[in-house]
Amino acid sequence: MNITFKNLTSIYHENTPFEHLALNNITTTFEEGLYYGIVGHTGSGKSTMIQTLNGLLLPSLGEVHAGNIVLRRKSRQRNIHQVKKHVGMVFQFPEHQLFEETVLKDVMFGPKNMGMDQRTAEEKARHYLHLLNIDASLFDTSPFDLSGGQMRKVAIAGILAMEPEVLILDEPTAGLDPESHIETMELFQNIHQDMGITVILVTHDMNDVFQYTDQVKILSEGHLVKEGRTDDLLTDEVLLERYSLEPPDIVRLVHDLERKGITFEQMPKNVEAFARLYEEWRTNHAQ
Amino acid sequence: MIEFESLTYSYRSGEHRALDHISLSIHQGDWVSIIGHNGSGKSTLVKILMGILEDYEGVIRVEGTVLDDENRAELRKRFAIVFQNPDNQFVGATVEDDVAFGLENNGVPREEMVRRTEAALQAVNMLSYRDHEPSRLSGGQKQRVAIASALAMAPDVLILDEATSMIDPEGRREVLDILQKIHHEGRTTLIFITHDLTEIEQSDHAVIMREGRIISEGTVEEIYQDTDALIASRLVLPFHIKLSKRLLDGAYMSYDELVRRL
Amino acid sequence: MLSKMLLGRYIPGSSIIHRLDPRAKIIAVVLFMVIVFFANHWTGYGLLILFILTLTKMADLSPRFLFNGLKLILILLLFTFFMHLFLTKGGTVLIDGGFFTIESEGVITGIYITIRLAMLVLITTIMTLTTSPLQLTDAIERICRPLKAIRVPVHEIALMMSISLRFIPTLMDETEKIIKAQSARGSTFMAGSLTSRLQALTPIFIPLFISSFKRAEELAIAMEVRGYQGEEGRTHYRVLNWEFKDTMVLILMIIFGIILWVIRQ
Repeated sequence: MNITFKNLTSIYHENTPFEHLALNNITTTFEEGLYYGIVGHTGSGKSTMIQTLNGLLLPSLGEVHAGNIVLRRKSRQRNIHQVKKHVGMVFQFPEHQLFEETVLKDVMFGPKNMGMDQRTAEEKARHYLHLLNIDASLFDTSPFDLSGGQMRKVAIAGILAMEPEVLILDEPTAGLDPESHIETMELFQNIHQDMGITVILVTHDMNDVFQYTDQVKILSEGHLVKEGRTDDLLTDEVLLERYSLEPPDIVRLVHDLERKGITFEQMPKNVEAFARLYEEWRTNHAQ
Repeated sequence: MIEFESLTYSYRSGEHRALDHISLSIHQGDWVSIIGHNGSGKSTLVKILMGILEDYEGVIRVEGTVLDDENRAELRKRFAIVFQNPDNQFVGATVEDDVAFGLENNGVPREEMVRRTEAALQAVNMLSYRDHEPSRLSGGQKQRVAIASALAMAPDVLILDEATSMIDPEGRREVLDILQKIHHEGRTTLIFITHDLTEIEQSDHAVIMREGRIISEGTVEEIYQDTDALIASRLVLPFHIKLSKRLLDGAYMSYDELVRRL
Repeated sequence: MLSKMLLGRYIPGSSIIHRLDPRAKIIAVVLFMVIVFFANHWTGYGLLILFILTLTKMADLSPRFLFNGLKLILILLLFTFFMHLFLTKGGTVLIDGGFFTIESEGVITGIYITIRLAMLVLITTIMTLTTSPLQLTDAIERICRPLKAIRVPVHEIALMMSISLRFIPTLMDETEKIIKAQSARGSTFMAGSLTSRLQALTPIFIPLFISSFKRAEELAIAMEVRGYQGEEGRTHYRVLNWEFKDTMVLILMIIFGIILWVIRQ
């Protein structure tokens, strides 16, 4: 399912002294099966954009096309519900949304709201809890007895069990320790690759955006200022500087080495790839 | 100087020990980082030091004086702490009210209170926000106010209990910059609790905890070299240390040094 | 809707009214509540309206803005008016509708009482618009201090009020986030029977309660480690400065009351 914004403008508190233009005339597409990153400073419109993507906010002007459903300023509840079914959203600190008596019931909440019957919902819940390495012995315990990391996994399972075609991640690793951070990002990467789900990642962590996403959209003060391939945008020092975005660690290192005369044919994506390229360069220049 | 001697603590008697014979010395003016995952015991250690948890076994000495029921309240005034959640430690209705809260509790005369509040806000670059309400501040700014609130009490020891884990990278950098400034002035001992190895580079001394024990201790360089302890405690090395290990002799170096040596 | 609700809001400013001691403002409002009842004919009510208009001007508030705020309690005002219109008898019969009559006395009383109510609401609104909740709390604490003699925990109540005020925006944000998160999970709050609507609130209230308890616990620890032990030996950062202008306000208020008393019929 593709999602397209057509001349979309979003205004908060319209016609009051607090009026605020959050998104300004944006036309863009999120194509099926790709991994997107949305970057920009606090207040750039990122969170308005993702909430508009799944119908939590409706556009003030313009349209959102999600598959063949169109959302406008005054769309019907039924259409909005349809969009939510296809577009899942993992909020920042998703563990704060847990409420059921047991882990299993909590994960089943979303699927049941989306019209799955009890049995299917339970099947899905069990499947995704397993996928997230939650031990079956915990299924009947209260989610509030789990550790913070496990609670987050249960909350994520609750979204995945709705089997969305598009998955939006809002700072999914906030507050996690570095190991869980890597584990969580790898998990989404696997889901993206194995199940072909479109992923839209909003984060401050430019290393994650660089490593995992295919496409990047840069927002600044409500404008979509640049979009394109991650490998093009996040390696463009001038562009990043203009919107005061940090370059990813590897990009910074590669550029610093270029200034020393060490140049690589391609941009490495991780430490291992960098090390290999570097060693290659060393052997070639040893003579 | 703070000394822990064979400190042991269990949350419920008979259960496994949250702290298992911890012995550690923290020197005045040092920046000491305590690193470990959730459940490693690092926060328990802090809670005991702050008197939030009692009934521990072992001895805590502050400047040579053994901490006991009688002097605890008095000695505790030398410690100040900044917690993890920026919202849940903001007591005052505005920035300056929050900084003054601790001073009010200690009966500091008003003129001195105003002076100390201003100085503390100045130290964290938040003076221009003095009449702001917390809802208008970012997470990083709230943590800076929390540091100012702690500094206003003129503590000997400032404890930061995962104070950077809930804020964005920009806020984190600001907080670390301020800590570095405080450290430079040299009056305040910093005890910095974290699970992020990229945040410990400035510290004089670092300790890795795992399951209630100290499994590695030393300078930051020594910690980065202790591969076994790092693997056992499932910690992730900073980017440039990973590279120096992979490509150079593995010696500890800063990012700039790495660029120079490659 | 809520954004139109002016009562209880604060608009920062530096007018003379803003700068008055909050205690003076509270006492003046209480005095006004008494004075309002002195007026009993056109001149008196005219003076009251003039008084409120002058205050509005002095507080740098736009009258339109203030009267927009009145719209919200319009129903209450209309209700009061019609109550008196139909129920107060006397004077000449204006309309005779068989089982009900409207008499001239009813019209006049209806107008008077409605003006009275509107004036009371307006002066309270002017006070809250020009005084931060924090200042009000401080003022209430000072004014109520004598009550400590009869063991009313004045300081604790004031602290509780100020902490509640501080956490209102935090909890509002939190509620909004939870509503959005559950709504993204397909929860609907606006459909179905009353029972199903109430059930739909569980996924909001439980997370909200849990996080609030956690906040309360952490806040208590934060207060304790910063040396909070109740009021004993505590000093105050915020001070209220009673100045000559504050005394003047109260004197003017009393003079205004005397005038209204003298011209009453």
